[in-house]
Amino acid sequence: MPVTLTSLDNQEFKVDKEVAERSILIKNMIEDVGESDAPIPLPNVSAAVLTKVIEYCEHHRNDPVQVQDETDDPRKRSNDIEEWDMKFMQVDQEMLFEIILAANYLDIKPLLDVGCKTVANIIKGKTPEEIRKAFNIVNDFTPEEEAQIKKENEWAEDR
Amino acid sequence: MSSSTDNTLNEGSKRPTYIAKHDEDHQIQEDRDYSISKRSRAPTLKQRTVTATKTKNSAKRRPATKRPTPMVTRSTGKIQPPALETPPQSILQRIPPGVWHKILDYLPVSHVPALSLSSRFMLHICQTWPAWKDFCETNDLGKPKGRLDQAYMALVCTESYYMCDQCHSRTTGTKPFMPQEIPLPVHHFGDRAHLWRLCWACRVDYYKRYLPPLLTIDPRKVATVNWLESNLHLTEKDLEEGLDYFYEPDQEQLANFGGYFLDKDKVSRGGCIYPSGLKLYNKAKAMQLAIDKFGGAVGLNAVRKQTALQVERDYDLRKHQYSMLCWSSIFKKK
Repeated sequence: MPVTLTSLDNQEFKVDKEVAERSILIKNMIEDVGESDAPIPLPNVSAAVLTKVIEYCEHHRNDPVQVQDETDDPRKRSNDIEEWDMKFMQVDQEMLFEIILAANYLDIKPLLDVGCKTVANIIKGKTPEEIRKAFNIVNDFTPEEEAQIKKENEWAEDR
Repeated sequence: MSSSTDNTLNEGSKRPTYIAKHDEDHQIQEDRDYSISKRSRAPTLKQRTVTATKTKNSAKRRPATKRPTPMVTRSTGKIQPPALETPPQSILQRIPPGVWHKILDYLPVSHVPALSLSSRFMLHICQTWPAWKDFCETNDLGKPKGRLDQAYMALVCTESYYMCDQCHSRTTGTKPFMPQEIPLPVHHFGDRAHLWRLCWACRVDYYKRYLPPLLTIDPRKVATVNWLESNLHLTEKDLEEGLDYFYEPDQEQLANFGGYFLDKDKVSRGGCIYPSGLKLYNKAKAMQLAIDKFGGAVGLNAVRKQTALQVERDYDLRKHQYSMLCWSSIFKKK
């Protein structure tokens, strides 16, 4: 049975219920409302981002549902991203963060994880200046503040 | 207002109602002028007084002042300040702190301070990362002075000399003195571009799963044998404990390398008595020994270069600086 999703810009997307239910938010909404043809409004997600999210859900429609594990291994690895997911995440940074926001809003844990790992990989091993360049961040510290923070939060150098 | 009371005093305003009515008519006219002139002038005090007794219709004509309506969040039900005055946010600032903290979970701890130095926003995100507090609690680092969440980061950074990127444990290697146990930089499997600081236990575990490249040694040369010997760094203590890094070669090796083995009972060099066994090395065996005892070649080199002692000196200095910072912040508050 298809489900209609309405994006922020009132564009409608018809997807299989199985695909839509990769999102816990939508799954709960469908369960609450019951059998209905009424479109599900997603006011926080634009059409472009929703297209990407649906593409991801379509590809992972048969994956087992990830159970929230409270005892998650703290030694998480940012490098165990599937090849398809890695290609899927090769988008411009604005879109990458929009996908993360949408995954967070729609409660799609695997997509959120992939997004977070991708951002972590961008940050990894970079100096503060390189991070600023990578994310277009403006340095809003005064030189004195920067020196003080550097002194306080400096990590031991490798030998 | 009824017409029968036209000539009576209006008790509320203490003025005859006809005056009030005149004023009201005047006011209506003025209101029209006001709207026509597109609110180019503010209402006078008199106009405002009369407005208090105005009819509902005239009230509708009064220009409404725009007030931002407060927003109520769905999750908490708390009233938030109106969003009108907040500056436009970048996409990075729109990401909730919880999601940023999830991103930090995927980073080696040693890479987080660099992010905190990029901007104020990132500093706030890094300082409020709950993992700092967890590190302090699991490693008994105590509480930072001032009891602020932000100070946990500085405290962990002070202990960074002994923090393992993988198991997040603190290993000083001093009780008992095991200098190879301190976290040392390793090119992590699948993440070879970046160095991970791993403690001895994590390195051993890591090398058991991902075998490192063999040591580049040629055991047929005496110089190489001496190099390996010095790298294995046998101490008298090791000898007392009966640790033996040597193995007996098979017949073929013995034939190939014959002449390059020494015996403790027969040879002494520079006053140092060599242990029993043959001074012939199998690369794989030597590497296995290096992994088991030192957590890989990196641990072996660290022991040889006395890295642990250098780290200890630096750590003491840093600890002193940290305590000075704490005291100065306390005095500033007072």
